[in-house]
Amino acid sequence: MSKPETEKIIGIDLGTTNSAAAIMEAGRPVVIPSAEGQTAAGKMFPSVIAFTKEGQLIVGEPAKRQAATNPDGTIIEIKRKMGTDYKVHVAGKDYTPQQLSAFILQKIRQDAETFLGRPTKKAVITVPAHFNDNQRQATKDAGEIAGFEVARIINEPTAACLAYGLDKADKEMKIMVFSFGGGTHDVTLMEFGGGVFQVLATSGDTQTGGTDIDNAIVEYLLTEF
Amino acid sequence: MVVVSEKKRHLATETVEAQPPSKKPLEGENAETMLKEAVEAVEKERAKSEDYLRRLQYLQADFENYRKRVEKEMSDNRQFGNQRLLSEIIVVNDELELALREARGSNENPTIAEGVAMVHKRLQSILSKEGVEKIQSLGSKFNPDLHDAALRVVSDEEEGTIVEEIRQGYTLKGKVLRPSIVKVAENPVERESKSEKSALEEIGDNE
Repeated sequence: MSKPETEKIIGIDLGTTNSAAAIMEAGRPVVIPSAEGQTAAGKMFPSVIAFTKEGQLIVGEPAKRQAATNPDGTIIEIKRKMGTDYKVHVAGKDYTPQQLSAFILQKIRQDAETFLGRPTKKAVITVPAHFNDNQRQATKDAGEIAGFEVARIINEPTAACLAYGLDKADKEMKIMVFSFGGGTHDVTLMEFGGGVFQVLATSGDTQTGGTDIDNAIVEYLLTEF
Repeated sequence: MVVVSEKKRHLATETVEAQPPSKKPLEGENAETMLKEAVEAVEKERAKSEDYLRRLQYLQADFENYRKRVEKEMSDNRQFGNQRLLSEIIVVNDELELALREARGSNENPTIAEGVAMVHKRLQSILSKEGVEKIQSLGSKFNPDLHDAALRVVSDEEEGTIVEEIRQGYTLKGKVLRPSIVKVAENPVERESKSEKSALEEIGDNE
Protein backbone atom coordinates (compact mmCIF):
# COMPACT_ATOMS: atom_id res chain seq x y z
CA MET A 1 0.00 0.00 0.00
CA SER A 2 1.80 3.09 -1.20
CA LYS A 3 1.43 6.27 0.77
CA PRO A 4 -0.78 8.78 -0.96
CA GLU A 5 0.26 12.22 -2.01
CA THR A 6 -0.39 14.23 1.11
CA GLU A 7 1.39 17.37 0.14
CA LYS A 8 -0.29 20.33 1.70
CA ILE A 9 -0.90 23.61 0.00
CA ILE A 10 -0.09 26.47 2.29
CA GLY A 11 -2.04 29.69 2.16
CA ILE A 12 0.03 32.85 2.39
CA ASP A 13 -1.03 36.33 3.35
CA LEU A 14 1.84 38.40 1.98
CA GLY A 15 1.07 41.70 3.65
CA THR A 16 2.43 45.21 3.42
CA THR A 17 3.29 45.37 7.11
CA ASN A 18 2.89 41.81 8.34
CA SER A 19 2.80 38.39 6.74
CA ALA A 20 1.44 35.04 7.82
CA ALA A 21 0.68 31.58 6.49
CA ALA A 22 -1.77 28.82 7.30
CA ILE A 23 -2.55 25.22 6.38
CA MET A 24 -5.71 23.18 6.52
CA GLU A 25 -5.49 20.52 9.17
CA ALA A 26 -8.30 18.20 10.12
CA GLY A 27 -10.63 20.44 8.15
CA ARG A 28 -9.61 23.65 9.84
CA PRO A 29 -7.14 26.38 9.05
CA VAL A 30 -4.13 26.45 11.38
CA VAL A 31 -1.82 29.46 11.38
CA ILE A 32 1.84 28.54 11.06
CA PRO A 33 3.76 30.21 13.89
CA SER A 34 6.80 32.28 13.05
CA ALA A 35 10.07 30.66 14.16
CA GLU A 36 10.88 33.55 16.50
CA GLY A 37 7.78 32.75 18.47
CA GLN A 38 4.73 34.76 19.30
CA THR A 39 5.10 38.52 19.08
CA ALA A 40 2.79 41.44 19.72
CA ALA A 41 1.33 40.79 16.28
CA GLY A 42 0.48 37.17 17.21
CA LYS A 43 1.75 34.48 14.90
CA MET A 44 2.33 36.96 12.10
CA PHE A 45 5.72 38.49 11.53
CA PRO A 46 6.71 41.88 10.12
CA SER A 47 7.28 42.02 6.36
CA VAL A 48 10.73 43.48 6.91
CA ILE A 49 13.93 42.41 5.16
CA ALA A 50 17.41 43.51 6.18
CA PHE A 51 20.93 43.17 4.91
CA THR A 52 23.23 43.65 7.86
CA LYS A 53 26.58 45.34 7.65
CA GLU A 54 28.12 41.91 8.11
CA GLY A 55 26.41 40.79 4.95
CA GLN A 56 23.77 38.69 6.66
CA LEU A 57 20.20 38.54 5.39
CA ILE A 58 17.52 38.65 8.06
CA VAL A 59 13.75 38.63 7.70
CA GLY A 60 10.88 39.30 10.07
CA GLU A 61 11.00 40.28 13.72
CA PRO A 62 14.83 40.47 14.05
CA ALA A 63 14.97 42.57 10.86
CA LYS A 64 12.48 44.99 12.38
CA ARG A 65 14.44 45.12 15.66
CA GLN A 66 17.64 46.15 13.95
CA ALA A 67 15.99 48.73 11.66
CA ALA A 68 17.07 51.68 13.82
CA THR A 69 20.72 50.66 13.66
CA ASN A 70 20.68 49.89 9.96
CA PRO A 71 18.11 52.06 8.17
CA ASP A 72 20.02 51.90 4.90
CA GLY A 73 20.02 48.14 4.80
CA THR A 74 16.43 47.65 5.98
CA ILE A 75 13.58 47.31 3.54
CA ILE A 76 9.98 47.76 4.59
CA GLU A 77 6.64 47.74 2.79
CA ILE A 78 8.03 46.31 -0.42
CA LYS A 79 4.54 45.17 -1.35
CA ARG A 80 3.74 48.73 -2.33
CA LYS A 81 6.29 48.44 -5.13
CA MET A 82 5.08 45.12 -6.53
CA GLY A 83 4.53 45.13 -10.27
CA THR A 84 6.65 48.21 -10.89
CA ASP A 85 10.13 48.64 -12.34
CA TYR A 86 11.34 49.91 -9.00
CA LYS A 87 14.66 48.48 -7.86
CA VAL A 88 16.21 48.61 -4.44
CA HIS A 89 19.92 49.12 -4.33
CA VAL A 90 21.07 47.46 -1.16
CA ALA A 91 24.29 45.77 -0.05
CA GLY A 92 25.90 46.55 -3.40
CA LYS A 93 23.20 44.89 -5.50
CA ASP A 94 19.94 45.77 -7.21
CA TYR A 95 16.88 43.87 -6.09
CA THR A 96 13.45 43.80 -7.67
CA PRO A 97 10.36 43.89 -5.43
CA GLN A 98 9.76 40.27 -6.50
CA GLN A 99 13.17 39.18 -5.26
CA LEU A 100 12.72 40.98 -1.96
CA SER A 101 9.23 39.56 -1.45
CA ALA A 102 10.71 36.16 -2.21
CA PHE A 103 12.91 36.53 0.90
CA ILE A 104 9.76 36.92 2.99
CA LEU A 105 8.18 33.93 1.27
CA GLN A 106 11.31 31.87 1.80
CA LYS A 107 11.10 32.54 5.51
CA ILE A 108 7.46 31.42 5.43
CA ARG A 109 8.52 28.26 3.65
CA GLN A 110 11.15 27.50 6.26
CA ASP A 111 8.71 28.15 9.09
CA ALA A 112 6.12 25.95 7.40
CA GLU A 113 8.60 23.13 6.90
CA THR A 114 9.69 23.33 10.52
CA PHE A 115 6.08 23.34 11.66
CA LEU A 116 4.94 20.51 9.40
CA GLY A 117 8.16 18.53 9.55
CA ARG A 118 8.28 17.96 5.79
CA PRO A 119 8.89 19.90 2.60
CA THR A 120 6.23 22.27 1.33
CA LYS A 121 6.14 23.18 -2.32
CA LYS A 122 2.66 24.34 -3.16
CA ALA A 123 1.21 27.65 -2.11
CA VAL A 124 -1.73 29.94 -2.61
CA ILE A 125 -0.86 33.60 -2.18
CA THR A 126 -3.41 36.33 -1.60
CA VAL A 127 -3.33 39.78 -3.16
CA PRO A 128 -5.51 42.86 -2.70
CA ALA A 129 -8.57 42.88 -4.95
CA HIS A 130 -7.31 46.06 -6.60
CA PHE A 131 -4.03 44.46 -7.73
CA ASN A 132 -3.67 44.57 -11.52
CA ASP A 133 -2.26 41.81 -13.72
CA ASN A 134 1.30 43.08 -13.37
CA GLN A 135 1.09 43.10 -9.61
CA ARG A 136 -0.46 39.64 -9.57
CA GLN A 137 2.22 38.29 -11.88
CA ALA A 138 4.93 39.89 -9.73
CA THR A 139 3.45 38.17 -6.67
CA LYS A 140 3.42 34.85 -8.50
CA ASP A 141 7.02 35.40 -9.60
CA ALA A 142 8.03 36.13 -6.02
CA GLY A 143 6.48 32.82 -5.00
CA GLU A 144 8.39 30.98 -7.68
CA ILE A 145 11.67 32.65 -6.78
CA ALA A 146 11.08 31.45 -3.24
CA GLY A 147 10.77 27.92 -4.58
CA PHE A 148 7.02 27.60 -4.37
CA GLU A 149 4.75 26.17 -6.97
CA VAL A 150 2.07 28.86 -6.88
CA ALA A 151 -1.19 26.95 -7.20
CA ARG A 152 -3.24 30.12 -7.32
CA ILE A 153 -3.26 33.82 -6.65
CA ILE A 154 -6.52 34.74 -4.93
CA ASN A 155 -8.07 37.99 -3.81
CA GLU A 156 -7.72 38.78 -0.13
CA PRO A 157 -11.47 39.45 0.32
CA THR A 158 -12.23 36.12 -1.37
CA ALA A 159 -9.87 34.39 1.04
CA ALA A 160 -11.69 36.09 3.91
CA CYS A 161 -15.03 34.77 2.62
CA LEU A 162 -13.60 31.27 2.29
CA ALA A 163 -12.25 31.46 5.84
CA TYR A 164 -15.74 32.20 7.09
CA GLY A 165 -17.12 29.32 5.04
CA LEU A 166 -19.36 31.57 2.95
CA ASP A 167 -18.64 29.39 -0.09
CA LYS A 168 -20.53 26.55 1.62
CA ALA A 169 -23.74 28.57 1.62
CA ASP A 170 -26.31 27.43 -0.88
CA LYS A 171 -27.69 30.83 -1.68
CA GLU A 172 -26.61 33.84 -3.64
CA MET A 173 -25.53 36.82 -1.62
CA LYS A 174 -23.73 40.10 -1.61
CA ILE A 175 -20.84 40.49 0.77
CA MET A 176 -18.88 43.48 1.95
CA VAL A 177 -15.39 42.74 3.18
CA PHE A 178 -13.68 45.41 5.21
CA SER A 179 -10.02 44.69 5.58
CA PHE A 180 -8.05 46.78 7.98
CA GLY A 181 -4.42 45.90 7.55
CA GLY A 182 -1.19 47.18 8.99
CA GLY A 183 -0.34 49.52 6.15
CA THR A 184 -3.47 49.68 4.04
CA HIS A 185 -7.18 49.24 4.23
CA ASP A 186 -9.66 48.05 1.65
CA VAL A 187 -13.38 47.71 1.26
CA THR A 188 -14.61 45.21 -1.28
CA LEU A 189 -18.13 44.42 -2.40
CA MET A 190 -18.55 40.92 -3.73
CA GLU A 191 -21.27 38.76 -5.09
CA PHE A 192 -21.40 35.04 -4.43
CA GLY A 193 -23.37 32.54 -6.42
CA GLY A 194 -22.84 29.13 -7.95
CA GLY A 195 -19.55 28.66 -6.15
CA VAL A 196 -18.00 31.79 -7.61
CA PHE A 197 -17.04 35.01 -5.89
CA GLN A 198 -17.23 38.03 -8.14
CA VAL A 199 -15.71 41.33 -7.11
CA LEU A 200 -18.26 44.05 -7.82
CA ALA A 201 -16.25 47.00 -6.57
CA THR A 202 -13.17 47.56 -4.50
CA SER A 203 -11.64 50.63 -3.04
CA GLY A 204 -9.49 51.67 -0.15
CA ASP A 205 -6.55 53.66 0.96
CA THR A 206 -3.16 52.16 0.26
CA GLN A 207 -1.49 54.59 2.64
CA THR A 208 -3.56 54.18 5.77
CA GLY A 209 -3.58 51.24 8.13
CA GLY A 210 -3.24 50.08 11.71
CA THR A 211 0.37 51.26 11.87
CA ASP A 212 -0.85 54.82 11.36
CA ILE A 213 -3.12 54.47 14.36
CA ASP A 214 -0.20 53.10 16.38
CA ASN A 215 1.92 56.06 15.30
CA ALA A 216 -0.87 58.51 16.11
CA ILE A 217 -1.13 57.06 19.62
CA VAL A 218 2.64 57.32 20.07
CA GLU A 219 2.58 60.94 18.84
CA TYR A 220 -0.24 61.74 21.20
CA LEU A 221 1.55 60.19 24.17
CA LEU A 222 4.75 62.04 23.29
CA THR A 223 3.08 65.43 23.06
CA GLU A 224 0.83 64.87 26.04
CA PHE A 225 3.36 63.51 28.54
CA MET B 1 -52.70 -38.03 -12.87
CA VAL B 2 -52.32 -38.95 -16.50
CA VAL B 3 -54.18 -35.87 -17.49
CA VAL B 4 -51.92 -33.71 -15.44
CA SER B 5 -48.78 -35.24 -16.86
CA GLU B 6 -50.27 -34.89 -20.33
CA LYS B 7 -50.88 -31.27 -19.62
CA LYS B 8 -47.36 -30.85 -18.29
CA ARG B 9 -45.90 -32.41 -21.39
CA HIS B 10 -48.09 -30.20 -23.48
CA LEU B 11 -46.95 -27.16 -21.55
CA ALA B 12 -43.36 -28.28 -21.88
CA THR B 13 -43.62 -28.59 -25.65
CA GLU B 14 -45.38 -25.28 -25.69
CA THR B 15 -42.56 -23.57 -23.85
CA VAL B 16 -40.03 -25.12 -26.14
CA GLU B 17 -42.11 -24.01 -29.07
CA ALA B 18 -42.57 -20.58 -27.55
CA GLN B 19 -38.88 -19.97 -27.95
CA PRO B 20 -38.35 -19.77 -31.66
CA PRO B 21 -34.77 -20.33 -32.87
CA SER B 22 -34.64 -16.76 -34.16
CA LYS B 23 -34.60 -15.45 -30.58
CA LYS B 24 -31.45 -17.33 -29.57
CA PRO B 25 -28.85 -14.71 -30.68
CA LEU B 26 -30.89 -12.08 -28.84
CA GLU B 27 -30.41 -13.98 -25.61
CA GLY B 28 -26.67 -13.89 -26.31
CA GLU B 29 -26.87 -10.17 -26.83
CA ASN B 30 -28.74 -9.86 -23.57
CA ALA B 31 -26.02 -11.72 -21.80
CA GLU B 32 -23.44 -9.55 -23.44
CA THR B 33 -25.11 -6.32 -22.37
CA MET B 34 -25.65 -7.75 -18.95
CA LEU B 35 -22.01 -8.64 -18.75
CA LYS B 36 -21.04 -5.21 -20.00
CA GLU B 37 -23.26 -3.61 -17.42
CA ALA B 38 -21.83 -5.80 -14.74
CA VAL B 39 -18.28 -4.94 -15.78
CA GLU B 40 -19.17 -1.27 -15.82
CA ALA B 41 -20.73 -1.55 -12.40
CA VAL B 42 -17.65 -3.31 -11.06
CA GLU B 43 -15.42 -0.67 -12.64
CA LYS B 44 -17.52 2.04 -11.05
CA GLU B 45 -17.36 0.33 -7.70
CA ARG B 46 -13.64 -0.17 -8.05
CA ALA B 47 -13.13 3.50 -8.87
CA LYS B 48 -15.28 4.37 -5.91
CA SER B 49 -13.39 2.12 -3.55
CA GLU B 50 -10.10 3.45 -4.90
CA ASP B 51 -11.34 6.93 -4.22
CA TYR B 52 -12.40 5.90 -0.71
CA LEU B 53 -9.05 4.26 -0.12
CA ARG B 54 -7.24 7.36 -1.31
CA ARG B 55 -9.34 9.52 0.93
CA LEU B 56 -8.83 7.18 3.83
CA GLN B 57 -5.09 7.17 3.31
CA TYR B 58 -5.11 10.92 3.01
CA LEU B 59 -7.13 11.25 6.18
CA GLN B 60 -4.86 8.77 7.92
CA ALA B 61 -1.76 10.72 6.92
CA ASP B 62 -3.50 13.94 7.92
CA PHE B 63 -4.41 12.45 11.25
CA GLU B 64 -0.92 11.07 11.77
CA ASN B 65 0.58 14.51 11.17
CA TYR B 66 -2.00 16.09 13.40
CA ARG B 67 -1.22 13.61 16.18
CA LYS B 68 2.51 14.31 15.90
CA ARG B 69 1.87 18.03 15.98
CA VAL B 70 -0.41 17.80 18.99
CA GLU B 71 2.23 15.75 20.81
CA LYS B 72 4.84 18.36 20.00
CA GLU B 73 2.51 21.14 21.06
CA MET B 74 1.85 19.37 24.33
CA SER B 75 5.54 19.04 25.06
CA ASP B 76 6.01 22.71 24.10
CA ASN B 77 3.16 23.57 26.41
CA ARG B 78 4.80 21.71 29.24
CA GLN B 79 7.99 23.61 28.58
CA PHE B 80 6.63 27.02 27.69
CA GLY B 81 3.07 26.88 28.97
CA ASN B 82 3.63 29.59 31.54
CA GLN B 83 5.25 31.88 29.00
CA ARG B 84 2.37 34.32 28.99
CA LEU B 85 2.15 34.47 32.73
CA LEU B 86 5.90 34.91 33.04
CA SER B 87 5.99 37.70 30.49
CA GLU B 88 3.43 39.50 32.62
CA ILE B 89 5.34 38.81 35.80
CA ILE B 90 8.49 40.35 34.37
CA VAL B 91 6.55 43.59 33.98
CA VAL B 92 5.77 43.44 37.70
CA ASN B 93 9.45 42.80 38.25
CA ASP B 94 10.23 45.96 36.24
CA GLU B 95 7.92 47.98 38.42
CA LEU B 96 9.35 46.51 41.57
CA GLU B 97 12.83 47.48 40.42
CA LEU B 98 11.60 50.99 39.70
CA ALA B 99 10.03 51.22 43.15
CA LEU B 100 13.23 49.95 44.73
CA ARG B 101 15.33 52.51 42.90
CA GLU B 102 12.96 55.29 44.02
CA ALA B 103 12.88 54.08 47.60
CA ARG B 104 16.66 53.81 47.78
CA GLY B 105 17.11 57.18 46.12
CA SER B 106 14.86 59.08 48.49
CA ASN B 107 16.25 57.39 51.60
CA GLU B 108 13.06 58.42 53.39
CA ASN B 109 11.91 55.08 54.55
CA PRO B 110 14.70 52.50 54.62
CA THR B 111 12.43 49.80 56.05
CA ILE B 112 10.12 49.96 53.04
CA ALA B 113 13.13 49.89 50.72
CA GLU B 114 14.38 46.81 52.50
CA GLY B 115 10.99 45.15 52.30
CA VAL B 116 10.69 45.83 48.59
CA ALA B 117 14.22 44.50 48.10
CA MET B 118 13.23 41.25 49.80
CA VAL B 119 10.10 40.85 47.64
CA HIS B 120 12.17 41.61 44.58
CA LYS B 121 14.76 39.04 45.55
CA ARG B 122 12.10 36.38 46.03
CA LEU B 123 10.51 37.19 42.68
CA GLN B 124 13.93 36.94 41.06
CA SER B 125 14.48 33.51 42.51
CA ILE B 126 11.04 32.35 41.32
CA LEU B 127 11.75 33.63 37.82
CA SER B 128 15.13 31.97 37.69
CA LYS B 129 13.65 28.70 38.95
CA GLU B 130 11.19 28.84 36.05
CA GLY B 131 14.05 29.24 33.59
CA VAL B 132 13.82 32.99 33.06
CA GLU B 133 17.21 34.57 32.49
CA LYS B 134 18.37 38.12 31.90
CA ILE B 135 19.65 39.02 28.46
CA GLN B 136 23.11 40.54 28.68
CA SER B 137 23.19 43.74 26.69
CA LEU B 138 25.42 46.50 27.93
CA GLY B 139 28.81 46.47 26.21
CA SER B 140 27.97 43.49 24.02
CA LYS B 141 27.41 43.55 20.29
CA PHE B 142 23.91 44.26 19.08
CA ASN B 143 22.11 41.04 18.10
CA PRO B 144 18.63 41.45 16.57
CA ASP B 145 17.65 38.01 17.87
CA LEU B 146 17.96 39.29 21.43
CA HIS B 147 17.92 43.07 21.25
CA ASP B 148 15.53 45.65 19.91
CA ALA B 149 17.33 48.80 18.77
CA ALA B 150 15.43 51.92 19.77
CA LEU B 151 17.99 54.37 18.46
CA ARG B 152 21.58 55.01 17.54
CA VAL B 153 23.81 57.30 19.52
CA VAL B 154 27.11 58.79 18.42
CA SER B 155 29.83 57.22 20.52
CA ASP B 156 33.50 56.35 20.68
CA GLU B 157 32.58 52.73 21.18
CA GLU B 158 32.85 50.29 18.32
CA GLU B 159 29.98 50.57 15.86
CA GLY B 160 27.14 48.24 16.83
CA THR B 161 28.03 48.05 20.52
CA ILE B 162 25.19 48.44 22.97
CA VAL B 163 25.81 51.60 24.98
CA GLU B 164 22.60 51.79 26.97
CA GLU B 165 19.79 49.48 27.95
CA ILE B 166 16.35 51.08 28.04
CA ARG B 167 14.49 47.97 29.09
CA GLN B 168 15.88 44.70 30.38
CA GLY B 169 15.18 41.70 28.16
CA TYR B 170 14.65 38.09 29.25
CA THR B 171 14.86 34.61 27.79
CA LEU B 172 12.84 31.61 28.87
CA LYS B 173 14.75 28.34 28.54
CA GLY B 174 16.81 29.82 25.74
CA LYS B 175 13.85 31.36 23.88
CA VAL B 176 13.40 35.12 23.87
CA LEU B 177 10.62 36.05 26.25
CA ARG B 178 11.09 39.75 25.72
CA PRO B 179 13.94 41.38 23.80
CA SER B 180 16.06 44.05 25.46
CA ILE B 181 15.39 47.55 24.19
CA VAL B 182 18.75 49.19 23.66
CA LYS B 183 20.68 52.14 22.29
CA VAL B 184 23.40 51.21 19.83
CA ALA B 185 26.69 52.98 19.22
CA GLU B 186 27.20 54.84 16.00
CA ASN B 187 30.84 55.59 15.36
CA PRO B 188 31.24 58.25 12.64
CA VAL B 189 35.03 57.89 12.55
CA GLU B 190 34.83 54.17 11.98
CA ARG B 191 32.09 54.71 9.45
CA GLU B 192 34.19 57.15 7.42
CA SER B 193 36.84 54.53 6.95
CA LYS B 194 34.30 52.12 5.61
CA SER B 195 32.56 54.66 3.40
CA GLU B 196 32.93 52.68 0.22
CA LYS B 197 30.19 50.48 1.56
CA SER B 198 27.83 53.33 2.24
CA ALA B 199 26.29 53.32 -1.24
CA LEU B 200 23.30 51.67 0.38
CA GLU B 201 19.96 53.10 -0.43
CA GLU B 202 16.88 53.21 1.70
CA ILE B 203 13.39 52.67 0.47
CA GLY B 204 11.64 53.13 3.78
CA ASP B 205 10.29 56.50 2.63
CA ASN B 206 8.71 55.08 -0.46
CA GLU B 207 6.12 56.90 -2.54
